[in-house]
Amino acid sequence: MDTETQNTDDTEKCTQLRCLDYMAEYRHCISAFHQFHQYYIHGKFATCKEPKERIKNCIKWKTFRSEEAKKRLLNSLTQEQKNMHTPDPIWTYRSSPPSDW
Amino acid sequence: MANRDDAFVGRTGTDAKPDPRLHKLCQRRLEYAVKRNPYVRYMLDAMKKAGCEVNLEKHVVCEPCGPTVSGGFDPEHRQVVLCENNIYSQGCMNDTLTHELVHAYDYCRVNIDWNNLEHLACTEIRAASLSGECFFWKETFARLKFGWKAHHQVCARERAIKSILCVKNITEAEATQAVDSVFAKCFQDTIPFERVPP
Repeated sequence: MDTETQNTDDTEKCTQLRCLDYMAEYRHCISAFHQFHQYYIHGKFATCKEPKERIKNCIKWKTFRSEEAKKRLLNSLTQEQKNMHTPDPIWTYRSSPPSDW
Repeated sequence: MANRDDAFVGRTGTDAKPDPRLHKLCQRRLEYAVKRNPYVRYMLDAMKKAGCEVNLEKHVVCEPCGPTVSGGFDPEHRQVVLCENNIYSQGCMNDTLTHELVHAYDYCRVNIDWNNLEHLACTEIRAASLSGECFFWKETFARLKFGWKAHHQVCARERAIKSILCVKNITEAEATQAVDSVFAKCFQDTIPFERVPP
């Protein structure tokens, strides 16, 4: 996926999500279940700093149309996507699914 | 998870006789898991998006296996094998199926070398972490392995080592060394899940 298409997709994603969705995400993050789950997985509690920042940036963008806030929000979303991957994988990725599947 | 040129180890060298009752039960549990279990459905959807749509008749089979395994992924035949004689409950079926689908997903998206111990360790770590085998209540109440702080990682590491020893004829020290060398990287790789599922 080239950068332009990805940027358009991310902008689409950004415009479609409501600030209420980010608030729901934050509420989920600070919930006891999630905190316990984080402690069980990683050995430390979640700070929930990112979801909180996203709410602030979303509100700034939707109300004041702050381009900077929108950019920060987009960066935050793409960073989350990147965190799913490991930056230095031990294997190489296929360019297409196996033909013998 | 093949360690020889022929099928995966649970499929060969076993004298298990097929039992029609167990086979039917396995099929029924499989159907239920595919329809109702969220993790299985998520993995099937991820496989479809990755370009390897799972055809249940072709890619998933119920068979009798050797004594120690509950399932496996056979890359030679591109099949998920479910051991009808060892899967003892619906929960076990859900976990096993999710676990093997993680292997199938890795086969689909990565150039995995099944003879490379590090690749094998990596896919096992991911499968143990993402399949639900290491859920808190399973570890605490079913296996009586108590632990809270980062215990999920301890569980994933242990189960990955055990899985490798099931399919590879190597020493525990070698398996441990392989798992430890790739653990940090592979534990972080939670694709297709956004994070380790609860």
